[in-house]
Parts: sequence; C-alpha cells; structure tokens
Amino acid sequence: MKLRVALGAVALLVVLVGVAVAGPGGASSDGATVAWSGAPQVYKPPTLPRDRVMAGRVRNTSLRDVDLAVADIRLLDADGHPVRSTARFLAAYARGLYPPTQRPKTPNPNEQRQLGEIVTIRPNQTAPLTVSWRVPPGGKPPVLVDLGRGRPSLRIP
Amino acid sequence: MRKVVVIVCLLAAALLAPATASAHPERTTFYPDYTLGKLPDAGRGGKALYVCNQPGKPLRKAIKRSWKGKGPKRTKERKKLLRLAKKCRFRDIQAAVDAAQSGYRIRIFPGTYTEEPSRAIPLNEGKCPRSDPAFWENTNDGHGEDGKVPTYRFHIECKNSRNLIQITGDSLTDDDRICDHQCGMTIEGLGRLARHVTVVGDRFKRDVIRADRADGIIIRNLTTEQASFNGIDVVETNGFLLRKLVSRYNQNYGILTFTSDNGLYDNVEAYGNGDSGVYPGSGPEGHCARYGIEIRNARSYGNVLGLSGTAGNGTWTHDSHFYGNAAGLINDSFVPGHPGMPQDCSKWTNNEIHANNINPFELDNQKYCGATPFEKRPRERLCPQFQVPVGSGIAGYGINANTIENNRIYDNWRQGIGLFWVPATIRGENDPAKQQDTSNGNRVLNNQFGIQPGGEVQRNGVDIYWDEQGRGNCWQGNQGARDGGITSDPATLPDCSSGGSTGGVSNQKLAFQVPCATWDPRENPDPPGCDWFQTPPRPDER
Repeated sequence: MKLRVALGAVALLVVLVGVAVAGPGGASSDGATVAWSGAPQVYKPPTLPRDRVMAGRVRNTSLRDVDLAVADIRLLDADGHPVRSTARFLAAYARGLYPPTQRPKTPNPNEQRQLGEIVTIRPNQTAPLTVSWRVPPGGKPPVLVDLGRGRPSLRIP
Repeated sequence: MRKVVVIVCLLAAALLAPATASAHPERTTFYPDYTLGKLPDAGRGGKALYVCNQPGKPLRKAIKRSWKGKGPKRTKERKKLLRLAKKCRFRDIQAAVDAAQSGYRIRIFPGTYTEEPSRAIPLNEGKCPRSDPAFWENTNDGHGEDGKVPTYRFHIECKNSRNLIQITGDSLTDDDRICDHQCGMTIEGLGRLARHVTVVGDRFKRDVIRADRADGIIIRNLTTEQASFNGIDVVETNGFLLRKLVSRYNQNYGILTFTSDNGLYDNVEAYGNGDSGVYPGSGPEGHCARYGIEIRNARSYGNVLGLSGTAGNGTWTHDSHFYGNAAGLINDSFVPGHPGMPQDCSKWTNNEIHANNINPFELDNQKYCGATPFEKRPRERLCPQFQVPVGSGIAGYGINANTIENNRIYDNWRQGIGLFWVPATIRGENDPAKQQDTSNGNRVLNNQFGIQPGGEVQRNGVDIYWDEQGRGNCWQGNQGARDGGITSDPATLPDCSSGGSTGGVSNQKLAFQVPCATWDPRENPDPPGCDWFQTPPRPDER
C-alpha cells in the first residue's frame, strides 16, 4: 500500500512538472495554466434562439494556485472580437444577500466566491465554469473563452 | 507515508480554502427558546395609551369617516371611539411606545401618521459611529452597508435612526436576548379598515415598524408603506401576532420576520413591494416536528414575489392567496448568515397560487428603476430588488423536507412548481460532504394544477419543472388539466409510495439558470442565456 501511494504521488508530480515545463502556449506570466477538464457542454435555451449556455469544469494544470475572475473573461469570435456574454464559476444558480444595486462599493472576496465571480483553483483541482452568449444578427459565434491576464484561452467546441 | 500525505493535504486544504463567511441583512441573530414563548392571546386587555395625530374636530371627523354607516355595530363603535377620543394624549406612535410598559396597548385613531419626530433623527446617526463595533458589526462578506450592520445596541442608543417606529424589548444590562420591558405590547389601529390607520415611511429609514426582541407583540389593523426596506420587521421575537395588516410600496419587503418563533400572520395583505409581500425568513427550527409560524388568510399580489423565505423553515402557510406577482412563492438556501440553513420543513396547504406573470423586468422599467433612487420614484412604481423567473407559481431553490399539498396552482405561464438544487458552497458552506444537502425529501401531494376554482382550464406553462436532483423528492395524487394528468419536465416523476427520487441531476437544467445570476438592472438587465425576464407566452397560445 505504501509503495502504491508513493508511486502515485511521484506520478502526479511528474505530470504536474511536465505540464508546467510545457507551458508555452498555455502558461500565463505566473506560470499557472488551466484547461478544460473533459469537454464542456453547449446548450441551446429553447426560447432564446440566438443564445447559448456552455457549462464545464476548468482544471488547474500547474503547480501553483490559479486565481480567476469573471471580470477578466471575454468570449471572442474567430476574428478576435468580443461577443456579448456572461460567466460564472458556478454549476448552479446563485444569488447574493443584497440586491445588485445595493452591493458595497468594494467587493468582498468571500461573497464573490459564493457568487462565482472569482475562484481560486488549487493544483490539479477543478472548478465549474458556465458561460453564456448571444450572437447578434449577422454576428459570429464565439470560439474562445479568453480568461484574461495572459492566461491561456479555452476553446469553445 | 499515507498519514503524512493526508496531513499535508489537510493542511493545504485548510490554508487554501476560502474562509467561511457569515453574513445576513441583520446583525448576528439567534433563535429564541420556543419553549419559553407562546402565541399572544388576541383578546388580551391591558392599559391603553391613545394616539391621534389630529385632535379635536379633525379627529372626530376621521372617526366618523372611518365608521360611517347606520348599522348598529358601526354606530356603537363610532360612539365608543368618539368617547375615547378624549383620552388621546399622544400625537405620534413612537411617543406612546416610549411611554408604555409591558402589557400596554397602543391604540391608534384613524389617520395618516408620518412620525415627524422620528423623521427628524438622521439616518445612521453620528453618535453611534460606524467605527465603534458596539454599534456596527462586520458582516465579513462585504454585505450590509459597506460591510457592516447595526447591532441591537445601535437601535437602543440611536433610537429611530433607522426605524420610524421601534419596539425594543431587551435590556442592555444583560446579554440573554430575552424581552425585559415593552413585552406583550399591542399596537393596533382603531379604524374600521386597516387602511384607515396608515403609517408612512420616509423612504430612507429601513423599517416603518421594527419589533426587536419584543416578545408577545401584537400588531394589528393598520397599514405600513414606503419603508426603504421593510414595512414591518419582527426580529428575534418569541411570540407575535400580525393580524389585519396591509403593507405596501416598500422597497424590499412588506412584512418580514426573522429568527422569530411562536408567531401568526393572519389576514395580511401585501402589494407593491420590490422583493416579497411576506417573508418568514430564518424560520423556526422545528425540523418537521412542529410549525413555529403560521400564515393564514394572506393575500399577496403585485409584488416581485408573493412570499419568500431564505431559510424559511418551520412555517405553515395555508388558506392564502398569492397571485399577480412576478413569482408566487420562493423558498431558498442561497445566502450565508441566515440561521437555520439549509431551509427545511415548511408546509403549504390549501392555498391558491395563480397568474404570477407580471413582469417588472421589462427593459424600460429596469432602466427607470436603475436610474431613479427609491425616494424619488412614485410610490406605486414596482422596481425589482432581485431577479426571479417571471411566470412561476412556486419555486424551491435548495429546500428540504417540505410539503406542498392540496393547493390550487394555475395560470402561471412558466411553471406551476419548480424545484432546484443549490450547492452548499453558495451559502458559504464549503464542506465537500454537504454539497448535496439541499433539494431532498420534498413532497408534492394532491394539488390541483391548471384549473381555476370555477372549473375553467387555465394551464401553467408546465405544472412541474424539476432539475432531477436530490433524494426523496416525490409527487403523488396531483391532478392536472390535461385528462387529469399533470404536465412535467421530466415527463415522469417519482411517486412517494416508492420512496421518491434517488439522486441524479440534469446539468442542462442547472446550466440554464446560471446566466440569470449575472442579472443587474443597471449593468446587465437582460443576460444572454437567461430567459427569466421574458414573459412566457400564455400556455394556451403555444
């Protein structure tokens, strides 16, 4: 049993170091990388023909914590233009204690975490990410989720 | 080796996990010991103090107007009140409250009360500074007013700074949170109708009437309006009776109770409130052994929500009418700081829940509301404080072990009843073992869907919409408009005789709700992917 645990830990370390070293194209300035954990699902709301909702989980593939914020996220079309969108690090609906118009000027990190506005993902851990978008008539759908701050973009299937 | 790995992992988790928040719109509150309290006796007597804002001839005219008519009952009451008018010594309700002791009755003659002395006291008076933790406590999550909420001491030492009228029963000389003075008080209007005694908020003070640790209070036969938060607010109170009341045009809630027990709402009417008409939040912790609050003969309409309750536990709502709201009833387990989380063990029976399709989320209205502060709006303007799925009869978000039975639910164009999971982390509970602890054990029994009392078919968009999550949820004996059967998504629902649901979830249904979390009337009034704010088409027109 001890041997198996030790081997498992070593294997995990090798994978994580490998990912960190292989960073170019996926690593931000702090070396943290994220990727989809499994394929995200894209859903079409029945009554909103121009809208889509995509839900998945993002994995921290680096050796250090990664902090993500929905304020940094943009969805980009194939030409690199932003598409009107929303994002939350949530898998289910949430709401805060006070109305959006009565929230404090300085946001509190605890509340932001509960509302899925920010997230800290530990190495090799995942967090839910749900994004939605609306394509205007004649517009192009998004193809990338830009996480901002030089982080790698996530492909939209 | 394994022990080391486990310890390292636990340490890392402890260091990295976000701190648990504890927040609420109130200060930190606690449930009273329900065994020490009881529902007040509606017929009790007590020394009376009389309030009239216009003595002399105008008062006599107001009495005659309120009780006009030639019948023996009205004639007798009119004569009695004209006689009692001579006893009126107070012009303001708060002045009478201040002069009262436990067991007194504050009796208010017909009229409109603006409570000018209370209005003259500035909101958040400077002598109770925000920097002093004796007066303001941190919410630890940024909520409240810049992350702070006033303490009980604040309300004592800066009386009427946040409430037009307040009854604060607990002494500061002990820390037992039990009523010491001004207990068992009655505040009652003497008009024929609740509308004949109206207390008008100044739109800045949070509550029009606040009963705080005021055990045994009775408030009846009057109207409150235009509070910047609650028309009537009952907090940490053991024993209360709220009867024959109207609460309208408040920015958030009409009638709200919070961490209170042994209570009854009876014959209350609420409309035009920007959140809920009635709100039994942080309800009694009866855990299905008892219902500590009863709501009956309520009529709640024209609000964003007819009734809601975060941690709305242990409440029995029956023989009431919720209609013409954006959504009829919502109970939930969303936010931290509400004692009693997650929600459990309430019961709704013999209610009529219909036509909850009004849409205050139309973009023009949202634009107006976002640009115009509460104090500058016409009082009738309905501005939503929170997002709700327009067209819903009942929606449960993260509720447990509730019973919805023998209700008539019709003409709600989105859904008759919706049931959804709320992960525990959303209320600030990050224990991995608790993430599935909501949306379990709810029973929906013998309700009539899609048919109004006269027998006319008025369908719901779908009678039941369920995200398929949770254990022990079940549906049985419900009747619908379509050949007696109900409509549902999923098409088949687990029945109760088989033990109900066994787990699972529809990720798609959950995902469709998430974009609605980004709603903001100023920045994002119509979030992509969220259909809550579109009035669903009338079911018969689909």
